[in-house]
Amino acid sequence: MNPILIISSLLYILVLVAFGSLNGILMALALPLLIYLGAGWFYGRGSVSLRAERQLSRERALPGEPIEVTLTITNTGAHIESLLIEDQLPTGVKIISGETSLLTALPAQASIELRYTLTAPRGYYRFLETLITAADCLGVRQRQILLSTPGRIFVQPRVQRMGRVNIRPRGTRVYAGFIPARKGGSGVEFFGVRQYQQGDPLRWINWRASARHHQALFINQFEQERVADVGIILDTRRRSEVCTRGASLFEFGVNAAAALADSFLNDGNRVGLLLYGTQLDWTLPGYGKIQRERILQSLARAEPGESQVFEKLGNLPKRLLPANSKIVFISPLHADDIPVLIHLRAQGYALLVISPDAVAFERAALDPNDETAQLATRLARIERVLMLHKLTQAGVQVLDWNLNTPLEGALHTTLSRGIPQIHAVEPVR
Amino acid sequence: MKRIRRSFYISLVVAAAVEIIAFSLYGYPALALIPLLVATLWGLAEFRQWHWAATPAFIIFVVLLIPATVLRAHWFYLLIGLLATLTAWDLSRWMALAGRAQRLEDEALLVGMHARRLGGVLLAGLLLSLLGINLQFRIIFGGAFLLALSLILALSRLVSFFRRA
Repeated sequence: MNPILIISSLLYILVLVAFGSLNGILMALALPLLIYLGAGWFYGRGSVSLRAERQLSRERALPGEPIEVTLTITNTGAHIESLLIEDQLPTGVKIISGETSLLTALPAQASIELRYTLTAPRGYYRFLETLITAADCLGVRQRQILLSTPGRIFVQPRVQRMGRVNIRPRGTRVYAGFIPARKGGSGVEFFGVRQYQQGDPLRWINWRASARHHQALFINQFEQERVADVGIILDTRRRSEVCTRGASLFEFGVNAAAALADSFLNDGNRVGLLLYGTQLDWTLPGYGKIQRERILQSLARAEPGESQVFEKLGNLPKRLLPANSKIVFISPLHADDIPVLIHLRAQGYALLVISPDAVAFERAALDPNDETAQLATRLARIERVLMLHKLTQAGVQVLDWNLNTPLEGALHTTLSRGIPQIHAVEPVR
Repeated sequence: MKRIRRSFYISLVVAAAVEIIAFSLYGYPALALIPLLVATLWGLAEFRQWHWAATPAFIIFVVLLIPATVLRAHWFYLLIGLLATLTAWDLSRWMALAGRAQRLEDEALLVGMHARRLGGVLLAGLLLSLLGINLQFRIIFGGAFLLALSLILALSRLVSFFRRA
């Protein structure tokens, strides 16, 4: 409560009662309060003019990495007798050393530094303002100011280094890469034989085939290896999130997306990322380290959310995904997602579904002897197996990811099985 | 901070004791229970760092001076009680402000500056009040009325000026 208001009210009461009761003592008793008020006004009458600057030791970090924050406040106005500086922290960060608030007296043109070190889980954190309370020594005349001290931190997901992920999309781009392009040319893997043309290297001549034909030479062809377009779709719908004992299923999805994006980009592919949930957060496809940074920043911001529009997968904007590209969909999956995914496959996209096993994840947190939980788990598992089976039958590569196994190993096993060859798929209604 | 806390409790005890003595001595021991209760609650609240309790307690303490004056308690008790209450309230507010900070830069300087300022205000208040109480002159009713009117007007202007400023 404002001290000026309190003392003024008491002054009024004392003076009025003093006049009403013709009692001079009460009038005299009002004098110390009046002097207190006057002293506060007199010593706190200067204007408050401050300049603030925030410095962060780094703008991007990994979860748990310490980040040092230095906030410098400079007094560009008159002497301030009592200055309380309270830095407004974004939610989720954890202070490991130092102080985020400070009480001091700040002479004119002097500066004071506030230093602290913080850590944070994966996320995007924005510093906006610092709350300043300037007052006279007695704190009668308090002025609160919100100083703009912008800053931002991206705490990116930890990228698990993976080996090459063998994908075979239907279409590839023109640049050389590591993905078999289903076209003859220079490469490593044998692709076919064709008649010799002028300019072909002699060491490619297939002497066995040439010997069977009169006056004709044949050469070996190798499968070209190119880069491809890869679209990673991360399911950020709230209903796909499962939290048990402080662990989050969503985080596994984010880490998987980061690891896959890193692997695909390292192989020279063009990678885009779509966060499907609260809104469409689309990172346009691109190559290289800058794209990696963009994707990691997008993943740092990712969090589960709700939206009526994106509640179901049906509103997935297929036009964003390059034709004949490889689509990696990371989601625990829901029954109503299956027709959409099958439809996507039918449109020619090579689809890989990485589905973190939500049933096992949730079961691990339940009492193993609870019979009801056991029955519920069995039912949920049957439902899940049926869903995944439908996808597999439709020619979708499916990784039923048990979270106890590393993604790389699980992915290698799934991809080594090859793509189910389905030539015509009718979308399930 | 310890010095401030100790000073606060001393001021609180003095403020409560003075009002309790004033009420007890002048024939209303039942009323003495109010400052006792309020002081106890205020002290406990401060111990638990519930600084919001300071303002209502301060208001009650100051308002209790009015019945004490009506009961013709000696002005000396009332003046000391008021100054002690003002000190306790001020220190409580300072502790609340300092409690919001994780670090006090040059604490001794801050505490010293505050103590000097508060001491000066209390001394000036004491002297002026003593002067006001001992200075007596007679004026006619009309003069008193005009004086009261102008005083209230001046006070209103002053307070609104403070608030605007």
